[in-house]
Amino acid sequence: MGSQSEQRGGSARGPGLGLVVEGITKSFGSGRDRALAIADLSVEVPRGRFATVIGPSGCGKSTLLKVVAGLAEADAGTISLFGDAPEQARANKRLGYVPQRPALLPWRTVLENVRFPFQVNRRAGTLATRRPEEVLTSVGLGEVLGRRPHELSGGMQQRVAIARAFAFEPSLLVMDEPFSALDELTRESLRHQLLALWEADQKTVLFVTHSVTEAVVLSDLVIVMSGPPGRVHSVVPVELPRPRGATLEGSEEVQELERVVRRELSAAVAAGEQAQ
Amino acid sequence: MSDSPPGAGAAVEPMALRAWRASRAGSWLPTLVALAVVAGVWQLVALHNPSVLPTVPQVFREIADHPGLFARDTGATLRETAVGALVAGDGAFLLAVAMSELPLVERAIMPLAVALNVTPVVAIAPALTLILGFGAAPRYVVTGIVVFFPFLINCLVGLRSVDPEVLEVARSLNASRAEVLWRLRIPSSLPLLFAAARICLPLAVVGAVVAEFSTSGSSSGLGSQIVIAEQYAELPTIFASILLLAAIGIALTLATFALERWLLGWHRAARGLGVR
Ligand SMILES: Nc1ncnc2c1ncn2[C@@H]1O[C@H](COP(=O)(O)OP(=O)(O)OP(=O)(O)O)[C@@H](O)[C@H]1O
Ligand SMILES: [Mg+2]
Repeated sequence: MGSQSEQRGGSARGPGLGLVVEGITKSFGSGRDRALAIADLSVEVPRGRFATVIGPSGCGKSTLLKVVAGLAEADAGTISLFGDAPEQARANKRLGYVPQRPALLPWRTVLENVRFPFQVNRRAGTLATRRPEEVLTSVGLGEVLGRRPHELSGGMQQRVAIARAFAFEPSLLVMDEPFSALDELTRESLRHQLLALWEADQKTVLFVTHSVTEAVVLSDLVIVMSGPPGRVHSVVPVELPRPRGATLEGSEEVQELERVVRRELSAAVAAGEQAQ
Repeated sequence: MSDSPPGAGAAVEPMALRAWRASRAGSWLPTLVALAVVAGVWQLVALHNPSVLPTVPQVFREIADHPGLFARDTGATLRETAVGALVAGDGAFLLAVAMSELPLVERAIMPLAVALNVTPVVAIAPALTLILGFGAAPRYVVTGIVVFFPFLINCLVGLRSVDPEVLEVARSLNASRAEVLWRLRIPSSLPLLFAAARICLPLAVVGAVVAEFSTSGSSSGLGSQIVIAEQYAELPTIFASILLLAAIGIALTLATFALERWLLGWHRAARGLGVR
């Protein structure tokens, strides 16, 4: 990866600004129905790190992701993606968004779906170094390039959605519970495919999950949220060696970290109940 | 499908029967039997009431005796239906695009479109004949009016039927409105567009006939034939015309089906999966 990618927001792990969220407040509705979804939330994810967001249902995780991705506007606060505002990052196509459901285009084949990001907002261009076919092959979909989404299992569809976000090599990947609709076994295998994909070029990632194991196994830092209104309760660093294989799961270190995250999570839930 | 274990049915069901079920001829047989029953009952009634109903052979003989005349009238009605529906359908589609992109256009036009829709065409047709003369013009206009509104509404719903999460992905890529329209909204609208065509084309035949009723004196068309034949109580002519009108409706519906099957294989298949 050359210096160009460094200038344009960079994909390599290293010094420099990552994702900086400062004092974000976001409410829905107006007048008496106005409800605070996020209150004065600040958090930082260094460039090239994998961060997961975990917290009780309704605490504002999806809202945070949408604000970061520039899909919703915050009432107050600032967000910087490698020095750019979310709108700028969007305009430059530096943002990959993976929603909870695969959200594929049913009339397009697997390959055409992954090509979609290349076909819109062409002015921004991409920094892609690999062809969509290669990315799809690396997540085990090389044999089904010509199939349409309805011919795939839920797990395969979700892999297409992830490949779609990775293939154009954005600087920041934002994923909202991409595995939540899958069974445990599929989930585990996708987790490792995602890790392999990510470890290949280490983008900055913000990943929402409800699974403590997933949070520990995937990330460099676990952001535990409380709410509503959403706040950062604590940030748990995960300093497990990489690359992380399937053998890591169930190991002593992982279990210890899971205990820590679980404890923080209960504390966050208790804090949320007290606030109400 | 029964839920008996595979193989259990094979012993009970004779081979020939299974082969027949699998063949395409099998799927047509119920339709043919039903048709034969209707024709039989018709024939019975007609034989006992010669002054009310012509017999089945009489109707077909009528067509065979005047092939040129019926060909001319069928052609005229088909042309009115097809041209009126096509022009109105295209116009409705373009207007729906404008409405979905510009709320102002929707607010301006929608009340007018609703008013036009609730006014019975049968009531408009004579007035249009006086305004536009006894030629083909009022026929195209009436046919168009009949088709316009249902098509407009279906197009509008179709253009808005894009999965909201797909729209979010597009927005995260900063896709332009034109790109969203061309790559997401229009493809998403096609299934509803075809559903609308299946409803509208038979309606268009009704529109053409209604218009012919009020311009019967001077022009060709199966509707005109019916009105003229009525004055002389020529029952076979009336029923031959009705038969040919039904044939026009069936031909248009089948053509729509064929086009839909060709263009929207993805949608039919996806729907089939959803039902299972
Ligand atoms: N469009 C909206 N309009 C009104 N309120 C909303 C809207 N979206 C979210 N909220 C509210 O904001 C709060 C946070 O919602 P959000 O979807 O971000 O939670 P979450 O942490 O993602 O929950 P989950 O884990 O269940 O997905 C909730 O209380 C929710 O009711
Ligand atoms: Mg959520």
